[in-house]
Amino acid sequence: MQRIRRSRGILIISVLFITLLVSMFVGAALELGPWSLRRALNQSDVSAAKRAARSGVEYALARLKNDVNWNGPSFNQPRQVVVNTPELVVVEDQGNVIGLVRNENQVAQFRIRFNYQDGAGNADGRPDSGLPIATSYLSCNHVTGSTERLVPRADGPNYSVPANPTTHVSLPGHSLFLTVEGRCGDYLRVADAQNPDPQPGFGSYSTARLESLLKVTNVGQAATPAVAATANSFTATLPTGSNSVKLDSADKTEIGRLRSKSGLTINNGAANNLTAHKSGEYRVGGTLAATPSSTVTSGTEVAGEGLYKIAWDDVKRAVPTTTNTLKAGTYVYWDDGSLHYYDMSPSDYQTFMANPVNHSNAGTLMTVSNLPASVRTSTSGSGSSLNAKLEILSDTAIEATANTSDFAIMPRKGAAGGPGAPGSATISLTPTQMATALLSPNNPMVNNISGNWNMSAELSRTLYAANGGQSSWQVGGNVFNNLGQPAAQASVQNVLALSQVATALISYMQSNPQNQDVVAVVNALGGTITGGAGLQDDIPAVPASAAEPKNITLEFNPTGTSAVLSGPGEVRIGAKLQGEGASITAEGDINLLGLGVNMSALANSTEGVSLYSKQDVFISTFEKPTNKYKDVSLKGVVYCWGDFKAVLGSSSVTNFGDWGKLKITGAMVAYGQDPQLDYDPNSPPSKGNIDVTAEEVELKFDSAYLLDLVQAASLPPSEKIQYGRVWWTQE
Amino acid sequence: VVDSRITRRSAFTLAEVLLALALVTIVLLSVVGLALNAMSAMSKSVDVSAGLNVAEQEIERLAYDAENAPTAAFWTFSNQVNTYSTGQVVVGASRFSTATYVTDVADSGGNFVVAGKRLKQVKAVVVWSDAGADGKKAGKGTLRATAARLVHEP
Repeated sequence: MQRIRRSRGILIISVLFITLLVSMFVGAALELGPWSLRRALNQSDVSAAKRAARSGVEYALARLKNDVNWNGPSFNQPRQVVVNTPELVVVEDQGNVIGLVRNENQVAQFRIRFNYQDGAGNADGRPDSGLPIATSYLSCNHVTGSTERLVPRADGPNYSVPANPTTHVSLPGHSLFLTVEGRCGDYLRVADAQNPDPQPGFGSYSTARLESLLKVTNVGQAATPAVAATANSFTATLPTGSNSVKLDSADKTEIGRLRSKSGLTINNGAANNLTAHKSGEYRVGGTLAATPSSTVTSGTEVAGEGLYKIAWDDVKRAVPTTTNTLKAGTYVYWDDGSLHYYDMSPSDYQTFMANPVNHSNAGTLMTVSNLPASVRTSTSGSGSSLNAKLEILSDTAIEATANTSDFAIMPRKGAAGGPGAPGSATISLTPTQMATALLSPNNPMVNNISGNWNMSAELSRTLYAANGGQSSWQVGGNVFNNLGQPAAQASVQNVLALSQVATALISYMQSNPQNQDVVAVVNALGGTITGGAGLQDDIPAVPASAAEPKNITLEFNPTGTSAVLSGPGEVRIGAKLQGEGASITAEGDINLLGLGVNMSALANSTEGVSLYSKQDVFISTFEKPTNKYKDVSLKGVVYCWGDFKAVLGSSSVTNFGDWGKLKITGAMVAYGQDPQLDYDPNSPPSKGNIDVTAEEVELKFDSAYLLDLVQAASLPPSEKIQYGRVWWTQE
Repeated sequence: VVDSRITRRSAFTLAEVLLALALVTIVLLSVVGLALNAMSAMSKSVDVSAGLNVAEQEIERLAYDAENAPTAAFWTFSNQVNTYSTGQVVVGASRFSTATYVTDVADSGGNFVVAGKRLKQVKAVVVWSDAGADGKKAGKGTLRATAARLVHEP
């Protein structure tokens, strides 16, 4: 019996051993076979899901090329089937985007969610999408925003964004955050444009999530980006022996570039008077008369390539309302801080005040009752201790009157454009030539009828000044009356004696070579002005007036994010100019006279412009009492159809430390003509010059200010915004 | 005597032993065959993965070149039938034949076909034999992997 038991035991052990052996083989085979193949197939699905997520990013960026505000689709647009082809289907519905990418028998899906899915009109201001996406991760288009923005997590019921959400990511200005979910599985084979997001059911599927933060790196217009671009020449005058025109860029992917269709001239300065903070480039269509440092390279200025086009219609301007309209005219702060309005242009006011009889004319006293709500005046002190401020609180539109469309603000004694430098300028006309020109029948300065002259206002004022401020002048039988007035007259009976008048005129002109009237008279008589250091007072001093431009401030202090001052004519500021979110747009010249400028536009949208003129921009920061120049700091786009000129120094101020510094962050363009017109190298505009005199010039490119300006300008298709990847994660 | 009878009865006959051995052999051979098939499947899955990787690399290479050359022919090419490019990639013992296709994405507004705003669909097809590049590997036929994704014009 003992043997029987042992034999059967061996049998059982043998059977168990063999069963175990077979099971191990079978298990290994099962492990190696179908499952490994299944893993390969699963890997294919995962890869397809990742590629779908990547496709979602590509799709979003392509959509943004067409609409910088796109957020699937643009705000409150109805559902759109944007693409419906056998290979690709994309449906957008109230901020949710679902795409299907077909590749033979494999269907992958990408999903992008902008909608908060928190009900209609709540935090995102849009109704829920008809294609809700069950994910906590949202995308956010913050391309046109300039400040930080928080992207919430959708952790509320049904993946809604709760009232007090947690923050998923913080976005810097001008950036785009995309969370794209990719999926791939058999259940997607039934998906189509009508049902792009079927429920997965019980089948397995693969997912991938791609998060990317992209920041705007450049406004890729057809025009090569540049911090300063001129349709004509660029000229800078620096102190002898030191300093430079320094190029810089706020964009890591762009360099500070200076483009000039004509010449590039930098007078004086250091041995290398064209430098770069890191790296820069100059492109000159004409002659280079500057010494670049090794960090500034030479580029090719393509003859037919245009400059940035920013059309007038695409620039934000104040829309006149009952509460923001300011009458055109001249606004003058008196020594007691009262604000007086004269319904006349600054030039007419200059003529008006040239007559001492008018010095006491108080115009219209401006107070809270007759100023628009968008403007506020405040004052303290008086005379040389006056501290007067005119604040622009919101968009303010200057409205033309019957007399003028120009706007000016200044102290009673006016604002000096510069110290002047007697004898330093050369007038190309001799006294005889000038007399002959004045007698010429084609002379636009004089309407000569048998020796009886009706003079232009410019000649009248120039003669008045040349005559030492006397309105009557008798020279050798020639009698001039009402000088300084717009309608001065003369009886010219002795032509030979007219050269004596011309001699006095030329003497005055040499001392005041950049006075606007002088320039007008010389140009009209066919002469030219060479040299000269700066402007004399724009407005003759009014007796008993002590307040200077430094005592007055025009400050942009917007109650919202920005404020724009828009005018149909010239805008002349004879005061300190400062503020953030500030913008001045004018159909005439913009003249900033008298004191420093420190203003910045918003780095976004159409508010990126700080100064925009359909004509010229002129800045002079001479402080007459101290014989010094102040600095200018402008952030934003400075754009003019004509010339840009900044006088922050002159040869008559020999201490270079008393010169002002010019710093522009953004871009400046002297287009030279209406930007609706293309630049034509065969017919270049006569304007479009940039001319700067300063202790130091720093030009820093920042495309952020150009964004929507470019986007809105109905640009050619090749012009586009570029995005740089900040970070990129994939799960 | 009784004990010896019992002992003889409890032993296996030669026929029983041979039958058992035959059965065990059949089972083991089946299992070994299954294992060989499994190993072959695993090898195939490795090949499929490699082919898929090649296809994806082709797309990435194409997209990279196109994104860094705005004037590349890539952006003006669109053909669903004809290849944009073909090539050969050798990975280990496998030789992969690649073909890429580039087509326009036709959206409802027609914006994706405008220069500067274009969106392209890129597809890579990879074909190879699992016999290996040197033909030494015991192959069973031709394999195929594809990958596709979108690329936007930068």
